[in-house]
Amino acid sequence: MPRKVEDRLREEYFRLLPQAVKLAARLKTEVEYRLLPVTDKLAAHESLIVKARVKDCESAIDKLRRTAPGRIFDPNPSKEYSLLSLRDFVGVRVLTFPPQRIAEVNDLLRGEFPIWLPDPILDEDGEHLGFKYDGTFQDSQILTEYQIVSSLIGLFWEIEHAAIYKQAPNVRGLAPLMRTQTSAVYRSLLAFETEFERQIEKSESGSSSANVYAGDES
Amino acid sequence: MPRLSTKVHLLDDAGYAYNFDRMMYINRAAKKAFSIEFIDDNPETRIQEKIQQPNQGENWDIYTNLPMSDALKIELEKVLQ
Repeated sequence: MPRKVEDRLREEYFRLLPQAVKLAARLKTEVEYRLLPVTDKLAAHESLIVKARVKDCESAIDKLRRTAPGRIFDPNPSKEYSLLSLRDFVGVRVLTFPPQRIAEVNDLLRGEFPIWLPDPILDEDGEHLGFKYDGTFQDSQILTEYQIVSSLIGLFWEIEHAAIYKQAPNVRGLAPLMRTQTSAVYRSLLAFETEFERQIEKSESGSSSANVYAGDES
Repeated sequence: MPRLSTKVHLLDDAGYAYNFDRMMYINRAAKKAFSIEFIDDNPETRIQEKIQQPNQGENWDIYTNLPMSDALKIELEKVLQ
């Protein structure tokens, strides 16, 4: 009986996994090191978190399956399916809160990975949610990506993934029909962050003028 | 290009159901299927035109942006039945 494409891909996954785990750790360390100029000067209310992951086996296979019409593997493909074609087999995500540090983080990492291909993350209305780049790291044949997004949006993706898609990757097929609702969540989170930043700035400028006033009084 | 949500009502109204395993709108009676990418990338007029176009043969009419080999089309028709 001929082996199914999925069986061959599972075998490939576990052959690549040890290398992928090391690659994820190396990329995370490199990103954290490059971002030290930012993390060193974070204010008490700010955070910058770097997370790394290797795509799990069924998600990786499902992602490859989703590149074919009808989400079905071609029994006679012109080119053999391989997990090495996934651009995000290994990924690093940088989460910042509040998001005003995103541009700074992007500039620093862009300098380190200048030839990685940009693929900005947009919502249904074209609103920019974050930066994403993919490329190769340290000559590995496994493709990698890094993303820079606000903490709230990144954590929403994690919850959405854990609650809905983790146990049933095929349910991801419902995501296109949920775009309007997902965009509404993004808008709420962006509004929260914008207002938070505005209040912090207002508070900081208020303390500064209060000090000047106090000085004038004396 | 209008949002997906403004276009899927055309398919809903024409008796198509969304199959999230296949990520396609399917009408078994009409033997037609539209991929989500096709709906995303085409205007309402083109989708309407394809809905109204009668399926003349025994085979399914499958609208997708991606090229499909004959072997894949046969496999896909099997799971759409």
